[in-house]
Amino acid sequence: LLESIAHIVLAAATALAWLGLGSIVLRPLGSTGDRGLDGLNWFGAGAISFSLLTFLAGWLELLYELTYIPFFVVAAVLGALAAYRLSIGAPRPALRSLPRADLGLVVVVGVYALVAVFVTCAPISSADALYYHATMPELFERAHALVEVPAVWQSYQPFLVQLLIMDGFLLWNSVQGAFAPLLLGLGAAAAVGLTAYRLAGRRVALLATAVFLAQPFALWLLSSTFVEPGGAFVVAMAAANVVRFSQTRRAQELVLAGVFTGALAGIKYAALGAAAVVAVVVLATCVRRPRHAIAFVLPALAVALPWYVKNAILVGDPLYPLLGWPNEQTKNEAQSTFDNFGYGRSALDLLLLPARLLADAEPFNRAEYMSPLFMLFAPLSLFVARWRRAAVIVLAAVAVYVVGWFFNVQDARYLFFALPPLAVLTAVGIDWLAGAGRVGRLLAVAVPVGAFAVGLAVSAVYTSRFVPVVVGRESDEAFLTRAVSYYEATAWLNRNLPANARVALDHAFVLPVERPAMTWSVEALETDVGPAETRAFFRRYGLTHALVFTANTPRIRQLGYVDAVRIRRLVVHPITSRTLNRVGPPETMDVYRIGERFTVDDASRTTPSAHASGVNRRASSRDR
Amino acid sequence: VRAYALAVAWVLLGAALYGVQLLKLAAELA
Repeated sequence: LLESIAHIVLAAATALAWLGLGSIVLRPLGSTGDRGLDGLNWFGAGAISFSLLTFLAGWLELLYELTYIPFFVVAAVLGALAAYRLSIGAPRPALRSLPRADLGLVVVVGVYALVAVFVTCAPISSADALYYHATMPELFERAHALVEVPAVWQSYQPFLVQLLIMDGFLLWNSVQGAFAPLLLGLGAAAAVGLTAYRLAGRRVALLATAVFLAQPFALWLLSSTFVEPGGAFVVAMAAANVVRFSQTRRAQELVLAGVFTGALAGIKYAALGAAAVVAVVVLATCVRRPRHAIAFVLPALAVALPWYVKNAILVGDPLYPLLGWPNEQTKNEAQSTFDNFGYGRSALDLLLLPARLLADAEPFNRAEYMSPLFMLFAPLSLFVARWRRAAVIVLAAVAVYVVGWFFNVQDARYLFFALPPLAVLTAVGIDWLAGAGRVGRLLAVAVPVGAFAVGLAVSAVYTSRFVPVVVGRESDEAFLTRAVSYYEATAWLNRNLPANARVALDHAFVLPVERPAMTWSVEALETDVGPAETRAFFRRYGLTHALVFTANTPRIRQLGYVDAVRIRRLVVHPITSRTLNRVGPPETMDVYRIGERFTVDDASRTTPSAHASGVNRRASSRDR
Repeated sequence: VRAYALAVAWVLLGAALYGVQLLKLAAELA
């Protein structure tokens, strides 16, 4: 528990450090004239600056605690000063005088924020985080550099959020890293609330914040070391600055909108499409003069480009590997993972999409935990005269994005980017319906209250799984055994392998393995290649052991090429749902020792690292 | 009035569809 408190204190210091660095970086732009927006801009620009500086330090092989911590401390002190300046004369929230409904919304938002902080204190257990969101940062930290990881194609994606997670590693450990996406997600909620407050006052602001944050879907994303909260945050900030620009017509707000739109393209490939939609909307609806277009586009490019230039330099393809996969198997594996989401991509599927998202959303990866309020109430904002233009623009942009999403990877997580602006429209729709007649009022109260109640119940079940480990009544190992697939094998490896072992894994859950480990991915070695390539693979990574599923015949054949000897058979279980404590049928995995003549330490040995998608199809990124 | 009726119908339809999801969720949690 003490450890959890220390994590929370350091997370608060991280928020201050972002605020401090941002207040310096944005000084040349001056104030937007909106104190709340200034604060959020500093926080966001600071986070982006930290990420880009970490990128630069990684490129220069300077990722050391000794260089990071002094910089962090100075930034945090500056942030404390900036926070103090912001707070002078700020209106104090008067909770006592709030109407009951508003107070209820404040409580709901507060509970979700606290619970998200609480759950983040647990050891990282979500599949994708153990697979690369946290594992790549750990690898970079150990190498003190941003190293290329050919064995994990996902590692070529833009890594803006992962480098903030990496800062958490430099500060302390993986759990500290997990607080970076959480802070960004809470920032997104604040940006939603502030924008709605400026446009429509307190009731709509509280409703919008609650609609966005008070859903199990948001709690899951904020507390699972994913990058999506970062994407939602920069969307919310781009929108907040565009709204401000529509009031002031000053170019500086467009510069800020550009910075956040560029950051969106730096989140992951799936967010690049969202960034394109945002950019088109801003350029088509706000910009009348070339000067304004430049003010928006240049900062966007400056913030987004490093990732794509990095890939162009490393592999000659800015979007690697989407345009040319390293090999056929990797392409097929990735495609089958992508096709794993949703129902299909036919015209009928598109037509049924809204109904399925409401009634039968499980195949979209946890979309059943998304609040139904967006779909029910956001379109009603079209009926509000004052909001019609904004509603048409936002709903059209979201529709375009969702169609793009539909024809690519139908993972509900990527819909999170669209939720901040939709939350504001949803609140406007609820507020309008409440004032539009008796039945309307009944629906506008009963449906949101019902949705919040259902959300709280599901969130309570989710949170209860993390309580024992966070309060110290359960060991990390016991928690990971029930929360992470195949952890029984990981525990055995941690206890029994020699200290200098290096392990190839037949699954994706790399982070908890306490020896240098990597997923034996098809990017790294195709399953149908022969002795020469197999031996080169084991020598290149200096691998001494392998953990493979007993049924994985192609890999077992390849182990024969390196004189591998089976030393242990283990019974393992996949975890199919953390929330529901659901465990799959038992399977067996075998631990092999590689023949000594094939583990010879080679001067050109590459650091083993994490996993790649779907080795043996057991590493689906469908996260339960 | 037409907008109001449309809005009420939309919310009722959506809520009914979500009800189907709720039944499944309840069955899973139980």
